[in-house]
Amino acid sequence: MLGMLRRLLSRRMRRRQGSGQAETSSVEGRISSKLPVNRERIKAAFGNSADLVLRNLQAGAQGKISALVVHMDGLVDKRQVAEAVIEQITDIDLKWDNPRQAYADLKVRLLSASGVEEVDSLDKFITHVAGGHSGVLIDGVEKGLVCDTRGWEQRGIDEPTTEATVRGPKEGFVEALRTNTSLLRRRIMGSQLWIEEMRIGRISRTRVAIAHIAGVANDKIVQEVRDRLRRIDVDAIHESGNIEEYIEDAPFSLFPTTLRTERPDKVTGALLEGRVAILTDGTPFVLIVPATFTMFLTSTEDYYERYFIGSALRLLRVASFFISLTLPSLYVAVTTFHQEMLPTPLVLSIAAQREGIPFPAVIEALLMEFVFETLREAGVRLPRVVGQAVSIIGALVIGDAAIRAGLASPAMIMVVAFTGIASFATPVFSLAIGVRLLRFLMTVLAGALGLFGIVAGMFALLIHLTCLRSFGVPFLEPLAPIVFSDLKDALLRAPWWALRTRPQFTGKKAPTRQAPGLRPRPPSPEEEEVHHLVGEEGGK
Amino acid sequence: MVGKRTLRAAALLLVPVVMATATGCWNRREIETIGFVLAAGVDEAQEEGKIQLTVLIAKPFAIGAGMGTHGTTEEKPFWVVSSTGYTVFEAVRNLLSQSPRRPFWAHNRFIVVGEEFARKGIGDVLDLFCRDGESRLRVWIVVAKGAKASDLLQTEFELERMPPEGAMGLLEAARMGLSTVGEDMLNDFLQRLEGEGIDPIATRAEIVPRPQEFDIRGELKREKIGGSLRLTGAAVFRNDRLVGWLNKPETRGFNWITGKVRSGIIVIEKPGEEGKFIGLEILRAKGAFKPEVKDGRVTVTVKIEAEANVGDIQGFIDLFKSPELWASMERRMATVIENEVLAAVAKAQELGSDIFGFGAELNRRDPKKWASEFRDRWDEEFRDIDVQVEVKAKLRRSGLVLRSTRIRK
Repeated sequence: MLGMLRRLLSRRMRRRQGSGQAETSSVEGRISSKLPVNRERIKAAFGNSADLVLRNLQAGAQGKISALVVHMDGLVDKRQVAEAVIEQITDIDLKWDNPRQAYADLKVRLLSASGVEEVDSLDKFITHVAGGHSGVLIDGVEKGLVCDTRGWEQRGIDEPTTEATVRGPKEGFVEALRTNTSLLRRRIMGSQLWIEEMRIGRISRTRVAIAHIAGVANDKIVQEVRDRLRRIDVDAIHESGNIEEYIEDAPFSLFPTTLRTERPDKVTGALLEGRVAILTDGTPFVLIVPATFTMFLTSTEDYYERYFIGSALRLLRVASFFISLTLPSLYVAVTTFHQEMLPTPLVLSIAAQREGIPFPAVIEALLMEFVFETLREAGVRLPRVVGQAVSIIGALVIGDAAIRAGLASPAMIMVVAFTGIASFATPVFSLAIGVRLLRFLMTVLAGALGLFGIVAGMFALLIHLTCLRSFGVPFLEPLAPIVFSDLKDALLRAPWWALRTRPQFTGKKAPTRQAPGLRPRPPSPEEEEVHHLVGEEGGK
Repeated sequence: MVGKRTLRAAALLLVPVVMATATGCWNRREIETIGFVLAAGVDEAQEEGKIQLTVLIAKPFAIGAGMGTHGTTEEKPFWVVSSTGYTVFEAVRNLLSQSPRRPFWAHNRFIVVGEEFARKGIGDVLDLFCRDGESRLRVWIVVAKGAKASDLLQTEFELERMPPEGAMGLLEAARMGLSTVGEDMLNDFLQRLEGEGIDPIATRAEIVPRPQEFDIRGELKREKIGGSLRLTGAAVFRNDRLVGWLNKPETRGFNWITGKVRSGIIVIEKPGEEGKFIGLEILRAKGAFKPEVKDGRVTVTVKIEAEANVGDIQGFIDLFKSPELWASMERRMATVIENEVLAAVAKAQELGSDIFGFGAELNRRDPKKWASEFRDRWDEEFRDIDVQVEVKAKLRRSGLVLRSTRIRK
């Protein structure tokens, strides 16, 4: 059925292709030797934007050399512009009156600023200026210099708000790409961390970086990431979510096949498993591919707490995944179809609670789920101060008024509330939301067919999940197909000294990541003897 | 024009929609529209040839769960209602003319049979309970001694608001603590009915009338508590007809033989002192029997191993100083067990009902001999069986003291 939908959509898309696309204007041509011409062309290219700063300077012998400094206000570090660019121009030796000599001199001097580049196309010049570089043009020279004077206001590195942990680094990615790559670089000092950059978006020219560990990541996957990113030909990339939708393997699935995170330690962990990270400028959310199902139920904390705690927490998350998927539907199925499955006192208690409720259990469940989801959504979007008020009202409405009004039974409230809490236990929001939608479907199935409906729904879901791939890696790996060596870090987390090998699908190139036999153990007798002797000698 | 493919896609999309909506209500029933039958009783109806079915249905709203606004402790949380029919199934369906909630049988725990009805055979009424999908095979069969099932279902307990819950409590206590009830439920009963050389047994219950002067104070002000229920042993069947009763010691004798004794108190006379008793608590027990044919006569050897602790001693004993008493207590314990076993066997032989399955065991050991010699005349043969009892009684511990407290005069 999905296939059918897909075909329909793709046919429509094909039809659209070839029709005109929005022309993006770019300035053609080379830099002119006449400064006023260049000036006008630059002004025109930016449509005389208010934040464009154009400064004419006279330098050299009797001020014969006229220069133009171009930068965007707010994107440059003003001190750097003054010290590294303007001072250097005004300091041009008085003996020079030939523009070409002055240019050559300036080129050498400007090297004191970081990142100087010579450009001869005006388009390139303008792109750099738009990106926060300062551009220098000298009358009579058909070349320009751009120097890196970038510096703008940005949010400081903060604790990740969506992925808080008790133990582990408190740093989260920020909106600036360079800061984000530095966060990775600081964690992986080896030169094997390779970061390549590209720009996506005809108008937005968004910088996107691909990070991987050379010698660990599968080259084919890295190439596939490159290819998929290059395919994106759009006006703008606003957030990594846009990229996600252009590169994911299953665009019609409720399940995400890329993992987003704002934790640098999560990214480095994934990189060292041979995965690839996609960093997008302007968002703290980094994409990790290939992403498998078990990664969505994993928190970095699992690796920092001792292994049995990590394992227990993971099992808890697996349980809450199933609870958030099926609990309301199970409740509906058991109370409306399979009353024989409950112990007598419980069945009588539920029957007593449902006494006088006007709706069938399935309607009651859908209604309360709807109320809960609305409250949750309202609580997320509202300002924090108002949000609190909403949650208080919500708690009252859900917890008490619905029961008093005879609209819902206490058991149902309990089920809905527990389901809601369980869905918050899924660490990745994009998976949790998919599960939430499926929950409604399961509840309807349970209301129509009972446990049979749930089983049918779960089967369909399982079939779907086993069919999913993320960049060539089966989504349910290592559970289906079963990969025994990867089970050590899937639903359970084995001790670190047992995590010798990287995941089979992504880390085959460098299979092991630590020396064997690192398990701490008491010293062998010989070793002990040595210790003993050393101790005695020390005593003498 | 709509393409063929689009049509097919639409049809495929419709399938789940139709599936979800057009299933009808094959057995969808909201939980509050169900009458949960917790116990059922069968008697003869006044009309000739009809069966009277009495059911005890729970009244959830009177239980007092939820917000506490519905139930009051004065309202009975159950409703006992009767209907008649030529078959049980008809009677069940006839209940619908009185009960606005459809009876639901999966939570039924008891099938109570009145004594009169039981004496005429209960095989026909059990069919529905194993044929119907809702009813369970793990239902206790209870025979009301000297009473009608409908009366037994009216009894109440002081400590349980729901009578079947109370009865379950009594049954559990009797099974685990006293070993004075049969362990068989509907499925065992049916197997025994069908088996050769074995007869069914059921739970025996009696109504104990409440003393007139008994006054209930406090919150409980229920108008009419007719009587209470007591479990007093086992009902013995021959084929599907009730033929007699085992009292409590005889029932324990039965359980010794079948190895179902879990616990219980054995009272022995104190060695060397008249009128003083010692109570022993059974810890573990094993029971097995072996029928043998010698010269055309059947002899059954019953072997019982029992372990017990000393629970209490009347009078003074210092086990440290007189260890020989230990052995003598064990001997007395063995005698008590033997007597119980023999009493059970004697009663069963008198009633002509092989509740132990001696015949079935014989059949299992030597099917040919059973078929040629005993199958057709087992009823008479059973009455003449010679039963040998070998008891190994072992006393384990004497509690926290070896020496009783000496009362100084």
